[in-house]
Amino acid sequence: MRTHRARGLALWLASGLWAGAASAADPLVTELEQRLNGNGVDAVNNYLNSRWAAAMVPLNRKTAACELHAVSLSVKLSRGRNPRAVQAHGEALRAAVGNCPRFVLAMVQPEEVPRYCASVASWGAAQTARELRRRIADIDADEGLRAGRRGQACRAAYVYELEHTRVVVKRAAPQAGTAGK
Amino acid sequence: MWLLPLSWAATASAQNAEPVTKFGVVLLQPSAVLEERVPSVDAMADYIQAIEAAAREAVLASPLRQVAGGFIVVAVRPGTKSKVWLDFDTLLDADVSRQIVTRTTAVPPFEARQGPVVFALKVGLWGGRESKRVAPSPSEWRAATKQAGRQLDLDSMIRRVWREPDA
Repeated sequence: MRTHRARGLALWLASGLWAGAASAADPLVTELEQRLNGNGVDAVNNYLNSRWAAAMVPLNRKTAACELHAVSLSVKLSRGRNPRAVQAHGEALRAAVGNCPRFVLAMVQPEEVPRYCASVASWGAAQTARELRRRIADIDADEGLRAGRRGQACRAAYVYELEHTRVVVKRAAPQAGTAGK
Repeated sequence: MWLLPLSWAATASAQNAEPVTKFGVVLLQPSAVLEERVPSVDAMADYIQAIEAAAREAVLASPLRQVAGGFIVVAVRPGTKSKVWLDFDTLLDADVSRQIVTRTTAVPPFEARQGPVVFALKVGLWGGRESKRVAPSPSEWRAATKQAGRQLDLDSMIRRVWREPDA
């Protein structure tokens, strides 16, 4: 009896299960973290792919809203091989960088910074220019980000995209009634 | 015979590798606890980056380029107190361990409130592979659990292993 208990305790410690027990309170994130621990990144991404509306969309929403466990999980899942899932995690993290840049940048590896410091695909051209300028200004106004290696890499990525994205503002065609005024 | 090329390859790979590669940050508490105890996510993020930088300096400070993968485990308690434990898959050189613990512990922590905030950096030293383990279990923590004779929740664990009177 005692041996069984000791073995159980040792197994529990060795597997880090106490961490699983203390993981995210959110049921979706907890479930995904457990799947990740048991089956690896690609299995979780396949699972998310097959449950897009029920699992991927809510996870992306939580990540974009800077829920800490969701951000941490999305960073890990974005290193997978499933292109559709990787794209979705990337989009969520690009949205999150606009809301909690310091936290997202602290989670990623330096070489990953340009991937996340970029525009979100759903933005239109004008919104992209506006949002990139806002994010650059936010970095400039934040001494911690401005001085740090990741903050600088992030700013450089935004500036590059801003300078290489042509925003075309078309003049509206004059209406017949106003022409010649 | 084949050990020589293998050891040469490992050395060559260590020479080209980054001193510290951060594979991820493992948050060891539920979101609700983190929200309660971390008044500023920005401050926590800065601290994580500072810990990473300190670990890098520590690894660079040691002449030994030991390839290893594992966890740097950090707890921050109210009153800006911090403590660091290491949990690597292979036995880490004593000097490297001491350097990492000393330098990371010297990083001024963020303010935590109502209880400890515990997280771990999953790292590789000199190109060391990412640990397959999900979460850390430093030897001091294992000893504390064994001594307690039961599974400890994280707060109880930190209280037991801190070895310092409460503030």
